[in-house]
Amino acid sequence: MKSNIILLLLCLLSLGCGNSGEGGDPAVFHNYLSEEPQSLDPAFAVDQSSGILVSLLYPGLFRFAADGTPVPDLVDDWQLSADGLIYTFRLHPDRSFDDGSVIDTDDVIRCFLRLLDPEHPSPRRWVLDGLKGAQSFIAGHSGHVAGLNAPDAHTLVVELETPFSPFLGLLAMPATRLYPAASDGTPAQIAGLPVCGGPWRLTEWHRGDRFLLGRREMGGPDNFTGLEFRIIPQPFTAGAEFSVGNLDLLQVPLTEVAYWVEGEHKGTVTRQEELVISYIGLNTERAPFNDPRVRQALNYAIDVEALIRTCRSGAATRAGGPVPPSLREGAPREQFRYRPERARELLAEAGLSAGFDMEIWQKENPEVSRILETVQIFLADVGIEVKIVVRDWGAFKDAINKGSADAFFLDWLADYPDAENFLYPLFHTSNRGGGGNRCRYSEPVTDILLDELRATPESDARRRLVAQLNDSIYTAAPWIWLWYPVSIQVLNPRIHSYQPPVIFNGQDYLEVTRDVALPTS
Amino acid sequence: MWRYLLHRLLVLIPVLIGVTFASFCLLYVIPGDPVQAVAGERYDESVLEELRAELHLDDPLLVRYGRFLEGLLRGDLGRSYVTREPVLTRILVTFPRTLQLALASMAVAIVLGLSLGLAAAARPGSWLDRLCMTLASIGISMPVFWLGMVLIYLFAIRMNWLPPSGYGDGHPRHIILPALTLGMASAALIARMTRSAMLEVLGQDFIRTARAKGLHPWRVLVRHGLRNALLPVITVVGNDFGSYLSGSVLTERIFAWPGLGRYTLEAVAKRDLPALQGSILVMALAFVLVNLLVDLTYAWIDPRTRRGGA
Repeated sequence: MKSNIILLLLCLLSLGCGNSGEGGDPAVFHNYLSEEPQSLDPAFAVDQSSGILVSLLYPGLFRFAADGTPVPDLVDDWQLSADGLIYTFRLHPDRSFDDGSVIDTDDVIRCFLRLLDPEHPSPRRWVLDGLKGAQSFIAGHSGHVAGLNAPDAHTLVVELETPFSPFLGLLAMPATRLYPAASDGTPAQIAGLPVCGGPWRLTEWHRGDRFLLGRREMGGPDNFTGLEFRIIPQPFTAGAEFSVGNLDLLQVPLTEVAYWVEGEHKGTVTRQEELVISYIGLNTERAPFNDPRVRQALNYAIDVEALIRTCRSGAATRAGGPVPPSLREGAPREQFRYRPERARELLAEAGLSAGFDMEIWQKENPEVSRILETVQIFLADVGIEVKIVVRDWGAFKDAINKGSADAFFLDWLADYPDAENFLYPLFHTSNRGGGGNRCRYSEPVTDILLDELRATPESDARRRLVAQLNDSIYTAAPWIWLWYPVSIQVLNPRIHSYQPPVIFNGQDYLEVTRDVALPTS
Repeated sequence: MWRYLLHRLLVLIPVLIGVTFASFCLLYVIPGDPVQAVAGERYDESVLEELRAELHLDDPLLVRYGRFLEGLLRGDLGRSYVTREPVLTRILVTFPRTLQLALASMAVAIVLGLSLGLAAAARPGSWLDRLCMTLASIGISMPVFWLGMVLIYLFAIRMNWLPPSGYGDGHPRHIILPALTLGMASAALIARMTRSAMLEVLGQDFIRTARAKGLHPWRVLVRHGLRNALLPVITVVGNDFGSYLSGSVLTERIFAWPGLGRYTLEAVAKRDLPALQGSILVMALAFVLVNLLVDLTYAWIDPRTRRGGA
């Protein structure tokens, strides 16, 4: 028996020894996702992982550059009418799906109609519901969308109900990606590899484990020919995989910033302020949060700078309103600097000098727990007793969408890089609940200005409107303003020309290069 | 024996119906709206209603349960609300990976546990006994999460012997660290059970007789002692193996092992009821079958239980 055990152990060790070469093909960029994508069907790609893959696999009229600018993808040329209502797009005549079929305007109309079709209720319907006649189509009063027309196979005319200046951003979102008729989310498509047509094609799909993508068109000798996305839910594990050379890119977890930024490791550290805001939403329909003085008091009571230093290892910029600085003009707002005495004054003015009890809800996440425990201490200092309620994502989301939580911690990630995306969904009365306005803020003047913002083309007037809205909402304080997170990434030194994207689907990896080993003589 | 087996298999049917109905009721009452996971961060309320109707979420509990049973009889566990893929397809991919991990973990647990238990029982009160039991205590008290991270750090990062995580297309070296992590607690328990059962058996007359006949001490220990001390050990092995087959959520998460445990955890977070219901059914089935196997093993090892059971 003893010899058998020794033999078994030797076998195990011989199988395991030597991890070299795990990184595999050097022409493959090894990346990872922390969650498995929910769907590779563009109409149902609502999570970040799905959005990343869908944007790489399927073509769109536009795509996001790493800096967040919408740039033409299938579109060769486009024009906008003077009234800002009619877009005329000319499509490349030589782009095709992987099944060989040429991409034409019929494909665009088919995919756009499916996004709006109530028979296939897509959560992303809102992306195109501003097209002329879309509401009539959704209600079943019309079999077509009046604002979608194709004079010929490669010319598309899109008419909007009202002008919407960030419209091109909507056409770069995962939801508006195009796919051949065979890849419409049918069971056969879900079971196999979808037929795509984007810059990359899906060559291997190991469910729950990893995706392997192959480059569709040849690049330079130092470009990557493959992209691997492994599913690694645990940040520590991702760090270990990067350490041993199995990953080329690591999103540094907040608890490991010091190690990766200051420690000795083989990697190039990059920082990127993403189009994201972290906040504690206050339910403005509930007392005492329906009183702006109480909401302002909460903002004065918390030392956000200290939170950024301690809970985020400095990886964030203090928020001065809902709109990230890169999407607005004007000096940073600093009204709500840490002033606990001012918080107590405001609470006294609101008749709450004795303080009150409140709940802050969060989804299960140790990093968020650490933040809220610190917030709890700050608020206790001004007499507010906070109970932290931790729920799994499903229960948390249900509660905050229904308005049954006093307050909640949440992040908002840009769908498209425009200030409107940080204002209209989050603060317009019509979007209360699942539309994005989970603090249930309702202010008639703000609603009017938000409607005006959506219809105003990019101009000085629009920029002033953004600044005005950002400032007024900041002062009204429906949220406790926390920060715009800065993501820290470590890159394998063999990788070059990689620009961290400001928006999650803003990197197509086509221009990323690598060190190529010189041939040995 | 065959009647006993048939009886046990027939009992499985009401057990599984009970498990599925109880879990169906629980999933019905827990907070959280399944369509919100499908809907993402921004949606119109009208879409939510349409999704709810499409997924039949407005139907009464019994209608939904009836539909589930009807599908079950056709071998259809339904479609995931979130991914829209057939639940059975995903379970057929994830369960074999969990089974692989469970088998490897049990192999680790049995080899390590029996070795430590036997060594301790061979010299009770000696330094070897104390060392083995100290190791067993450490094994029981170490959290899986922590042990997993330590093993990754030592064997993957520091020594670069083994891959830190992943399934690696089923290559055996990918399973070593998760199997060691998962098997360690069971190994510790098996070691303690083996030692105490062995000490009880070694004090009996037939062992004294075997020794008096001049048999080699190891032959006495293993052939005569261990076989008679195995029953409680098999109980531990069966229980742990059954629970490992239900998916070892933490281990699968740390080691990015794409098994049933991770699938179930994600289904819980997203309120993906068909995925959750299908996973619970498979876990329950695996657990009761392992228990049945344990009972049959009892009967094989100790014929007295067979006579009593039949």
